[in-house]
Amino acid sequence: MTILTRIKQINFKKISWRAILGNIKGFLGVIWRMMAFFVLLFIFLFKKFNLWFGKLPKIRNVWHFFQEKTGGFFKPFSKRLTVVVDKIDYSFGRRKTRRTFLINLAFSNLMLKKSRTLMTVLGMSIGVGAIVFLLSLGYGIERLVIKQVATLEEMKIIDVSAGDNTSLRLNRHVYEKIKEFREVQEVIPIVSVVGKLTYNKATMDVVVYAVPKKYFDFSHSKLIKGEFFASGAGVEQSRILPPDLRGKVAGVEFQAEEGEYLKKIAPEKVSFNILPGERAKVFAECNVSAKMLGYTVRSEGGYQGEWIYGSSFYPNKQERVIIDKKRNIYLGRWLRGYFPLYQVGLDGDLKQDMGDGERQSWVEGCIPEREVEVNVPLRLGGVLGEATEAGTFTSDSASGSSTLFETVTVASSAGGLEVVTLQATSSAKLQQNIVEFKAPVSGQVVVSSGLLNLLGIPWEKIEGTEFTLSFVLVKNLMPEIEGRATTTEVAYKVIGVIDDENSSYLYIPFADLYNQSITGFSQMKVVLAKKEDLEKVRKEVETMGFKTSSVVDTVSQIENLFANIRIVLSLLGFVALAVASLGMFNTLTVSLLERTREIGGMKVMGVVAEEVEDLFLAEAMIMGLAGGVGGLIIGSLAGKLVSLIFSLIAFAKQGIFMDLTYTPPFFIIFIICLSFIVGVITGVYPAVRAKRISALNALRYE
Amino acid sequence: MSQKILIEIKNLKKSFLMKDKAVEVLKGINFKVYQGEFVVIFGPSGCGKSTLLNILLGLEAPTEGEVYYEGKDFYSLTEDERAFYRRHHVGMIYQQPLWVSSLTVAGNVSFPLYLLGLPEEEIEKRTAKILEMVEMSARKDFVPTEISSGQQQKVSLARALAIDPILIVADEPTGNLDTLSGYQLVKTFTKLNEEEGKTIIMVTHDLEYLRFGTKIVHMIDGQIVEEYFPKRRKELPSNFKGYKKSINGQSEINVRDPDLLKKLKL
Repeated sequence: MTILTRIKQINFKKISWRAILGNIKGFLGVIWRMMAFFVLLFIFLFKKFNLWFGKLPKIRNVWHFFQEKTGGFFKPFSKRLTVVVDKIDYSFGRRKTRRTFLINLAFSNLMLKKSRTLMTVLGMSIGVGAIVFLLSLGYGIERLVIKQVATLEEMKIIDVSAGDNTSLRLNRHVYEKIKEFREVQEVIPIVSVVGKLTYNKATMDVVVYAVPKKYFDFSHSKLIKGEFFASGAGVEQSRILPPDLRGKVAGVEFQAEEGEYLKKIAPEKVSFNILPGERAKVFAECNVSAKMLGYTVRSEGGYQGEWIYGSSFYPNKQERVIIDKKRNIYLGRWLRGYFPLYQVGLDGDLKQDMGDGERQSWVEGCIPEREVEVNVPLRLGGVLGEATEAGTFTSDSASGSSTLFETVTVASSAGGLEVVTLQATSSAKLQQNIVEFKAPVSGQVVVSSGLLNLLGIPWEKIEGTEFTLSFVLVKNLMPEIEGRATTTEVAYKVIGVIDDENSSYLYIPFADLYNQSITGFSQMKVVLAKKEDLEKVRKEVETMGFKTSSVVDTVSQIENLFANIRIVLSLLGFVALAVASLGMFNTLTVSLLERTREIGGMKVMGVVAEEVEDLFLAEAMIMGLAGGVGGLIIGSLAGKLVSLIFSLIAFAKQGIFMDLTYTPPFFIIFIICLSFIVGVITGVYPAVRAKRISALNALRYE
Repeated sequence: MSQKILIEIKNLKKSFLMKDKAVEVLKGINFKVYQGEFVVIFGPSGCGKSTLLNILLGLEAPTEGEVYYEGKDFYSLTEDERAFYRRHHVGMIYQQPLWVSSLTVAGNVSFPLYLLGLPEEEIEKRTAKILEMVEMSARKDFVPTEISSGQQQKVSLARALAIDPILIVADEPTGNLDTLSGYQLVKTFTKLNEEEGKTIIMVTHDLEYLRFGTKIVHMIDGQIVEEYFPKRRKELPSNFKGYKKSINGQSEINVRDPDLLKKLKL
């Protein structure tokens, strides 16, 4: 209570460490006493409240039940509460006036002038209520706006894209890596391409998203008709291969070779060379998703290396599909060895990669068997047990390589259509090329309602409407192609419609595109278990070099905007509060003047200055606190009223009550503290004045 | 007297500034209060009785001189320490009782007990007992200003006695009372003095009550002009019936300043 006097007592000229320590100690003591006083005041008000509650006819039973549940601790005069109060009270000194008594007295003083106290508290309530009303409106509208922008689920999602960095690709490796993060619940890959949609003989370009089924669980999309596709295919389950390799799939006959990822095709080294005039890409691993180190060209002496099954690549020149039955993926043939490294210069020509030194760097790497001729080692049959099989392989490969230089070779299966496509040899010629669409295809599509309008499909006939699609694939998705390639047309049937009038796009199952030997994704949605981890995971993904975005960005912009609005609103509210606290100040001062004689009399009886100060502070605090509680009630009632009126006016059609206000729990605590502090501040001056009243005033008054 | 000195006042002077002029209200007062005495101070209005009492209670510092309580210099203590002394040892009764307006009769009586920081139950017990003693139990839930002044003074007495003080200070306690009530109050003082050995200092200008004291102090114009110790209660010297009688210098009457008396034509 005596902070002011203590500050005055500090002699600034003679500050010594001991004095400072003493002052700090004293200051802490004052703080402790203040807090103890607050606690006592709270307990006192609680008791009053409790008694009052216990008297109310209907609430009484509930209240008693609550008291029983809490072990009777909160019973107004429970022993334990009394013990707590005594403990705190006696910390002021055992032989001193109990603070509880002063608080009690303050309350009686306030109750003596009931109407005046009530008016003052009402004034405070209106002041505090103004703040509560304005700010809860601010919070409420912000919440409504954010709700429009994003659902709670979406706040947990990070959109990852490759961004401007073209050397980085989103692929299965990245997918696996992100999925391993502890905070990540789900990673959803998305491939978005431009599709050419043909319906009723008219062709148009639409955006096609190839998404796994679970994508819909986390997106905002609302289905207004039909259903989402049933296929749960994602990265793991994609590239589903026909169970019988030589059987019929989707009505098409199939011929396939069986291999195993990263297994050697021939047990010993093979010699090979790059075809004249060609450049071969060198990858760090036998996988097109791996880092590309550079290029290499034909060498006079040829190369030696391992012949290995790696990831499938495009364009593939093999006659037959190679599949890994165990992993359920397509494979391609690769060569691993040491290669002199070249890089593409500014003019497009190859330059020797000098690395750091003066000699050309040689690296160990993998090149896809494409711009390569392989000399198949001749082995004696019977030396190795698997000779026959190996022989079959090699002869196949040999024939493959001998025809490599030819242009397109279509796999000669019965249908002649669905088997892996074989393409032109020169990469320069790949641009604008047409690629065969690989089976199987789901044929299911979910469209946006905007697209339906564009196509002019009548509402009743939506489900089952068929159209054909072909997809434009780009280098990002398929590192092997230069420029773009278009797939052949495939038939699709509409199974569902999404509510989005404003834009036209469609969804197809992820597997449909992924099966086209696509290695890259356009985007990934990373779903987190908790939204608190968002920033952390974002940072981690960004350090991997990818661009991230999240609806949280928009939300935080909105939050910023509303934080500013709230500042303005709270300024308005504080004006009202300032006026109200002037009123309270006035009441306290008047009541002080009225009671000059009484206070003098109390001092004659031995009440000390500090106790008088505490008495007045207690009165101010009780009024402030009551004003805070009243303000919360008035403010939120006003908020509800305004919400009701707005709902009636603006949303009359929908007939829904829309709550425009929202009061966060911390805000309630803040308001209570604020009103308490306002009480203390307005109480300080009257309290100090009361403290200075001389006892003689009482005796001379006559 | 072999009794312990409770209060000793030495050369007490007090002057007030009135329009830049120092007015001396107390002009060097010396006297002692022994434990168990019933001191009655009397004198005309403006003679400095109340100022003396205020200084005695530690409410305002003297300009000169000292006040000793049980041998301790009272004004070497801080204001708060003097207040603590009062709350623990001194009961006070004024002509106009100083009520705490928001408290009931019982509340006001228990007020000094709360100041002592006593436990709730004990306060309640003592309050009930003391109200019983002054026969005011029936009025305990009244607001003090609602009851008659005689009753108020009874409650005031109860409040003064609640802390079981060693000293009771009464400043014109009978001023507002009718003769009977005043008489009863002073009778109670006497009883307290005789039976419980309380030291009492009473200021009055009603000569009727002089005969209850064990020591009578006559003050005029800021000075003590005579002190009288009646041998028995209710016994007053024939020459002590008022200030107008001259004083013959009887042994019991301690005439401080005969010249002054003559000058005042008493």
